[in-house]
Amino acid sequence: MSGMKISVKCRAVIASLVFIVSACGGESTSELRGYQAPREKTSAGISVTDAVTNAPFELKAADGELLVVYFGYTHCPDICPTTLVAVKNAKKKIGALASNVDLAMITVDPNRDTSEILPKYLSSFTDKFHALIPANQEELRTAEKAFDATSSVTEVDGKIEVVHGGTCYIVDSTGKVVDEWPFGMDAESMAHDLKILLQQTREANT
Amino acid sequence: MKTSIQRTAIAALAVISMTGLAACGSDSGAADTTIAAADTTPATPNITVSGQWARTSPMATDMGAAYMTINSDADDELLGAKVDMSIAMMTQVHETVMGDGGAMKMQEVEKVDITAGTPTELKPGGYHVMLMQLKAPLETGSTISVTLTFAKAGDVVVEVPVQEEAP
Repeated sequence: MSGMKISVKCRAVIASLVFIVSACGGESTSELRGYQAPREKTSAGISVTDAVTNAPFELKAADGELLVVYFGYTHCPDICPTTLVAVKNAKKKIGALASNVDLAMITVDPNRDTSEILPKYLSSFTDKFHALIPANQEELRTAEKAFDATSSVTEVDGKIEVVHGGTCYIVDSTGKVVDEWPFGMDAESMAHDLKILLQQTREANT
Repeated sequence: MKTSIQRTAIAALAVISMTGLAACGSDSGAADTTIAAADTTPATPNITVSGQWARTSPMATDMGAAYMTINSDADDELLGAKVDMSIAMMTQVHETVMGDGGAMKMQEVEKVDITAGTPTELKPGGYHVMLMQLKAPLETGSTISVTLTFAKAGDVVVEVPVQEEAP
């Protein structure tokens, strides 16, 4: 009889917990908040020169990790730092899991972003990064094509004008693009997606 | 004589403490800054700036950006911004615009329309005060003075705290 009572209480507790969880979630907790392109994208086999090692870096995550790929430039005062601060804060939000999140920034402005500048710039946001400087236009365009990204650097009236996308591409260890974060996605949503994707990575590895 | 000095001192203290209280009354970390324009003709709009902040500049870059919300009780136009040359060599009001396929670029704007009673936001991905050729990195915790120039209200000086993220 007393066992029955407890189980009723337990059920009430479980029911209220479920209620709290679903009330807080507001949406399915296993659904990614980023964008999944209809076309399957992969950057496997595509490399850009790493400014630190001076060797080609293949655009895919290490085993059990995720790689955040971003096309930007250091003279960008608005979009790039906004996005990179959000990525930094997303990593803070997922605690120890953050050690499995790598960042590769490919500069679209290789003339100004030298191997002196780009690694220093990225170290302001994270200590786990690859500062990638395309050796030539072809290397940049090939990498962009894999993600359907575009950029241009033109000189207008003596001023350098850079056009670039503001999207972060999340790549797994096979080189597959598993998620995309458009400009303006907040750190909370990025952290949400990282947790789901890292969980999937762990499950795939076991 | 003594009394008069005391009175003056008390009056001065009262003014100081009132000013102090008013300054503390602000509800956000970045204090609202209202500065009456130099020109005081009745038509001069009262400009109020709130939520202002400048981003901590990452290492190895000489670019910076400042953001804020501008309120006015009358229509006006933001024509430009400047900072002391000891902070940055050039200051412009820019807008990030999105083109085809989500590609983004920045462009200088001639003016930003300020509508009476409607807040105008300068925020990431939109309008911003762009600081070019920074003399030194903008460091978290410091403050820079930004002078905004309006068509009617004239110059408005805003004290802008440097921080990593929006307040």
